[in-house]
Amino acid sequence: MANRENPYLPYPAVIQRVKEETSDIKTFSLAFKDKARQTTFYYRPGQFVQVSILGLGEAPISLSSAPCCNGSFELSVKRSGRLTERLHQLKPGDEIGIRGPYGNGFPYEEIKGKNIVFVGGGIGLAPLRSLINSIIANRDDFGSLQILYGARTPADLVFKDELNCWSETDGVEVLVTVDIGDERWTGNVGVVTTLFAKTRISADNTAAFICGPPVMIPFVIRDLLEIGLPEEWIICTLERHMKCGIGKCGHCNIGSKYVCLDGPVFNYRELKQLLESF
Amino acid sequence: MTVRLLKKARCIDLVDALSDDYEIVAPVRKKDDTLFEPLSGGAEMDLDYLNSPVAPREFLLPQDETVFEYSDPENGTTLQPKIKDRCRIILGIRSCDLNGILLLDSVFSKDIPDLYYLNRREKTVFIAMACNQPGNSCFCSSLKTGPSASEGYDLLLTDLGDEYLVEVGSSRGEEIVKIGRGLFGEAGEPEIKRKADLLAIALESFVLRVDFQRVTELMKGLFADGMWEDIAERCLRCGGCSFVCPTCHCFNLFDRQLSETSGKRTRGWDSCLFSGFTRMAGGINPRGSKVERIRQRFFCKLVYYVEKYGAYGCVGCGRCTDTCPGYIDIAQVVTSVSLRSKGYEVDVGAKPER
Repeated sequence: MANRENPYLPYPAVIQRVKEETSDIKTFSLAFKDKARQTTFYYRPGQFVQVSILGLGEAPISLSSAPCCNGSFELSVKRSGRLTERLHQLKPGDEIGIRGPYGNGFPYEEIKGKNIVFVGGGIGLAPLRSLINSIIANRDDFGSLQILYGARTPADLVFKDELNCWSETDGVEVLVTVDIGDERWTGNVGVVTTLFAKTRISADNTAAFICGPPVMIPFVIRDLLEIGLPEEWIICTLERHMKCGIGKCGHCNIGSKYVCLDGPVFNYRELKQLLESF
Repeated sequence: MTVRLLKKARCIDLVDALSDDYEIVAPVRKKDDTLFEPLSGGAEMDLDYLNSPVAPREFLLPQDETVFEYSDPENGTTLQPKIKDRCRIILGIRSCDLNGILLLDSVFSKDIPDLYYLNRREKTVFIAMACNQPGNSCFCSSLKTGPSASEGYDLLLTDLGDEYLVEVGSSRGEEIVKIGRGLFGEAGEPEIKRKADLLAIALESFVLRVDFQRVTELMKGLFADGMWEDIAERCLRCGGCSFVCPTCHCFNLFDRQLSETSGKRTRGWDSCLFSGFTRMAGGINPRGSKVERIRQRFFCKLVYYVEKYGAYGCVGCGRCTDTCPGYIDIAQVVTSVSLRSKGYEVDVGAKPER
């Protein structure tokens, strides 16, 4: 018993930096207080952690940084509940609890040599960013990269500097849209799927990664299937209410799958076999 | 198989002999109910009970338990994990409930082990009790989870009249017999034969027989069927079925602030019938309707449990049926699934006749 780790204990992590992405989204750069834990904190793009604020509880949050730099890790968090409200009030030097990483994460080795399409909506770009930056750091291992991103308004766009950076990288195309523009917005207006008409996506040797609000996902899948992408290369990451993160508490199941354990990343072939809708 | 005899009158002496080393939990009569409770003296026991209204899973997965306590002394927060390590005997547990615990073992040991459950489990000894007379809502024989246990027990008692036949099922069972030496008598073929005869009578006397054959496969074809709406109409969303169930394992984790600088993280039973069970921050709820939630309960028990752990998440104890204020009856649901899949109209909106 003694050498089994207690999976429910959070470990203290210190906020290093806070970046305000939008009026309700912040990116927190964190490092475990225990240096040994930080240097051995391995995770894959697409995995998540349980963020703990004592007195308020926990919330599952995707890692938004690429795993390659292990001095710290990042979480990009939208203010949407009690815990995230409190998290948004915290400053560098403040401590929170972290346990994890959890979940399967995105395929990585398997997509080497492929063309990659990312389709993100709102804060859904956060988990994708972890994979995008991993791919860009190893650019030669992959084919072309297309990033399609939609937000509600220009003020809701996250990672603005990086969107520019990515678009200036060789072989990377970035397309951005907003649901509602403003007087200074000269870009595309419309839901994220309207971007499919603005570019050419090849179905040949391509993998697509989707993350966004539940209402977005089926439409993106429909369009990617129409383009001819195979079901197993349409890859989604899902969000559910979670408590334990380790497949015990029963909150995050979709059919016989646990999103925390079997997911949060599923390909469409897996998703369409589930009895419950995703 | 080692067998012994234990005179009913010596049960109290056995409890006394074991009390030094173990906390003993046994059925205790409380007005109209018999509940599993820690014994303060052997005399309180009621081993002639049918079953308790709540499954004794609470001694492995408590309704409410502290995961850790936290306090914030001058320099940084400290966490105090709360893992208890008291050895406990559950005396008189029925075969259905023992099978329920074997299912919980799968849930809590698979993939990432849950220390809180497993620590208790390792320190729990089961002295199970075969049923000679099943109740009106019982259908364990349809699931082969009773009326007598075939695995999972340390000792198994069968009521032979003035005495119990004691079957030893594990080395920990042997240990109990050793502690209580002098109290046990010899048993042999005649007593084993008497048990077999009693078991045959018990099997004959089930009022309820449910055909579970192919139910998993059939349910998958009925996911969108209207029968779930009929059932949902009778659900009051009380979650009682989940709380009495021997195989429900869902729980919530939440913090209780006890002072400005201290508090505890707690886990407590939860139910998939509650609308907040799947609701996310921001308000999106993937299982927002009662129909989806009641369907989830039956699919969890009869489909998902099978796919994940290789057995039905139902042991036929009948508690959910007895508890449900809307008379939702899992046996009726299983029968209705079979009829619906053959194209018959079923009236799952009606109170079952029992």
